[in-house]
Amino acid sequence: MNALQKSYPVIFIILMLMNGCSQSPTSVGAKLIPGSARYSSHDTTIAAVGDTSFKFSQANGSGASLLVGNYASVNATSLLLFAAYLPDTLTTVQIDTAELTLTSNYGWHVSLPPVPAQFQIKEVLSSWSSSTVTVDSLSTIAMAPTNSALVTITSQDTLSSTLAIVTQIDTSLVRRWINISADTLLPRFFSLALVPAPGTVNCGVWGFSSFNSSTPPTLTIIYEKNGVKDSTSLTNGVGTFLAASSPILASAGIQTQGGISEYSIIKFNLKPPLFDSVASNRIIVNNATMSLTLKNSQSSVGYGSIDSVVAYLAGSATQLDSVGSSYYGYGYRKDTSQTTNSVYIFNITSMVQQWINVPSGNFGAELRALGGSSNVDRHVFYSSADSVYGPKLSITYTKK
Amino acid sequence: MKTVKFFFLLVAVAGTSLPLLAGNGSIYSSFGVGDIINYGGIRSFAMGGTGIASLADGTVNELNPAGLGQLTRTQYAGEVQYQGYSMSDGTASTFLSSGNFQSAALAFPVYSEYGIGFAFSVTPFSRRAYDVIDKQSNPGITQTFTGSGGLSSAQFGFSFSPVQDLYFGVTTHYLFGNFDDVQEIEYDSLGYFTTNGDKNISTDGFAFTVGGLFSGLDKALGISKEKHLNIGATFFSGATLKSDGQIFQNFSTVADTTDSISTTTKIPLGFALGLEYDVRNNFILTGDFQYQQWSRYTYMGVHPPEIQNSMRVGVGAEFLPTRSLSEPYYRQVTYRVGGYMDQSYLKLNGQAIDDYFITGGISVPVFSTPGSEARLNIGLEHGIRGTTSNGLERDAITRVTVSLTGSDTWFIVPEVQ
Repeated sequence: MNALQKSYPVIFIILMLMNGCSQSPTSVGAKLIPGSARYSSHDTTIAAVGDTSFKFSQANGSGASLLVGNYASVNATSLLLFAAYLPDTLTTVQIDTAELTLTSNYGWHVSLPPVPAQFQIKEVLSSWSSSTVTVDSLSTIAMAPTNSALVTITSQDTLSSTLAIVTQIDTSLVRRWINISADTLLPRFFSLALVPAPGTVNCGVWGFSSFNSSTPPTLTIIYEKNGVKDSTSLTNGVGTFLAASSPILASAGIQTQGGISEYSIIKFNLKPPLFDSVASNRIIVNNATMSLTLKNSQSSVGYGSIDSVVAYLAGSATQLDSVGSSYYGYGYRKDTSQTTNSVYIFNITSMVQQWINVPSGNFGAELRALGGSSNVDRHVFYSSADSVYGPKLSITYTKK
Repeated sequence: MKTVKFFFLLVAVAGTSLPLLAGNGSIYSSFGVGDIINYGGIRSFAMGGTGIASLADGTVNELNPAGLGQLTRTQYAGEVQYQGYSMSDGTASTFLSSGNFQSAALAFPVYSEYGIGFAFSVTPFSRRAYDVIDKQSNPGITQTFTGSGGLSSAQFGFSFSPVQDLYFGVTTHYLFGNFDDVQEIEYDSLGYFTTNGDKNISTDGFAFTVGGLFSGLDKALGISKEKHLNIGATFFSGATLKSDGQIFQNFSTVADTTDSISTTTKIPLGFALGLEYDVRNNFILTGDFQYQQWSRYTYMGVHPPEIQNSMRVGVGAEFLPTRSLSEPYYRQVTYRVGGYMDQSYLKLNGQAIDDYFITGGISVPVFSTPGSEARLNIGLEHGIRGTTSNGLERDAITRVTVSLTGSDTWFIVPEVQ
């Protein structure tokens, strides 16, 4: 009897092993599943029904790059604000030199023509905030010329591997800042602007690493005290840039440009009966790919920039800069070797699903430059009026 | 006490193993309310699913409540079942298996003079378990269909005997369960969102089985001087089950409930007739016939065309060489065989889906004392269902049920002398 009782675990183990003999499921039985109970997969491609490009006066915030320069219609100015604590002991030292070190990280139309790019350093007298200052408010910002040297770039070839540019700063300006810092009653506002030097035309738009990077703008003060040379550096602060374009839309077609907040909206009609939004019949979007064809000759991407455009779900019919930031897709060149009519592919699956789920919220896809707060990259695409190269939306979906 | 511990251990193991093993079976279970399970306990299982006319003292008759009338001690049973499906559609085949908690039952006599006995049990009524993968090349997609769940019956039965040899009984079934059908479409291409739809239906309701059993029909008819032949019959009331469910779908934006269902499922009435013939007090023959009017089955008020009336014919035999504990052990073992043919309630592609099964099993004593006993039962059935022709599927099904049954004097008040 004991032997029998000892066999119980063995019986259970045998049952478990029998279960372990189970194979992977196969198609056996698939033919018996009624078609009405199955999801079916479908593909369709539709053309855009409209598009519009527009520009907003928008703060670029604290981007990765501080842009300055000009090319064609684009003009950029950078603002730097040092969060400076200058020790009181500096009030008695003799300042030998003051240097501003900038490290390039971006260039747009900088290779041709190969002329030096020169920028002035100005003291900014009006307060500003990177989160609110826009190109429209540039005219209200007071700037004073300084005796600083020009920021001069002559070696475009080294741009891609980052180029540190050191420029002499007017020591009297630094002395004044030291005295202000020592006076607790005066506001500590130590700001500089970089603007294209007078007469500089088409030097390109240059970008320098901003604060909070590994190579921030650095103000180095070299001084002598009691016969001993020493130095102190300011590396903390806030930077932004202001860019303008005139005319605002340089080309016909769908276009985006970073820095100047130029966006486009492309509209697709996704309505019943093909795209039913009723819950029980709602289709499931498995893949939605928007393809745009680039006008290569009118488009330009800078050094150090990713050749990409991002499409967001447009959030309003009237407030054009409103987007649903949860729904977006990046667009990249399908074939990077193609030099004309390059096709950009955007995966906007969740965006299209949202359009179908909420048809009243379909205001289109809003194109924006990727990293538009750090570059002035421009992409110009064929518009929806072009039946051959206009925007297309290919959708793979399932439904019952 | 040892038996009690083992009993609860068995049920615990069965219960905890349920989620690990449950799952795979035939696509036939996707229709209606799944595979209908005619389970009347391990004895019935090994004897071709028969037992309508069984009055045996030693097992719980879950098919006919009138069969509780001759209980002398409290009976208990705990059972697990393994199922293996070897399936083929003529071009492809696979083998899927699963394990489930099968049944637990407790029955006890209350007043032997009037054959009053009670029984509680939980047993499966139907089972849905399938897993099918269908690959297509253009576009490159893999469709997966999985289903699980089924109906269980938590039932309370009692019997009484108004006159000698005549027994009646009623079982109240609380039918409850959940059906979960999931479909997926996965694309071979990268970056594609996977379609996933999950239809989940919960259902419950009450039904009744009324049973009658007459012991000694042969003697009553003057055919025999002794009682050898029992005849039994049951009538199943059918049920209108409340069925509520939802369809969930995953979208790339959100997982959403796209449809809610609140409806009824009508389980139709049925009846069964059975005979049991005690040949020599240790050799029993049984035969049952069952019919259920599934043509009246509706879901959401609609009768699915693939559901038809079902009929089942089963026969069985049981042989127990001796009840003496002094005999060799193998002679204390009960041997059971049987078989059945089931015209199931499915008719697909114009073809009825029939089952043909042979069954068998043994019941070995674990211990026996004057007040209690326990037996380990192993039942097995093997058979085929369907055909590979006409676009159908042929299943070779093996089921193994392991059960511990026993009796004790629990709940029984000693008679006052």
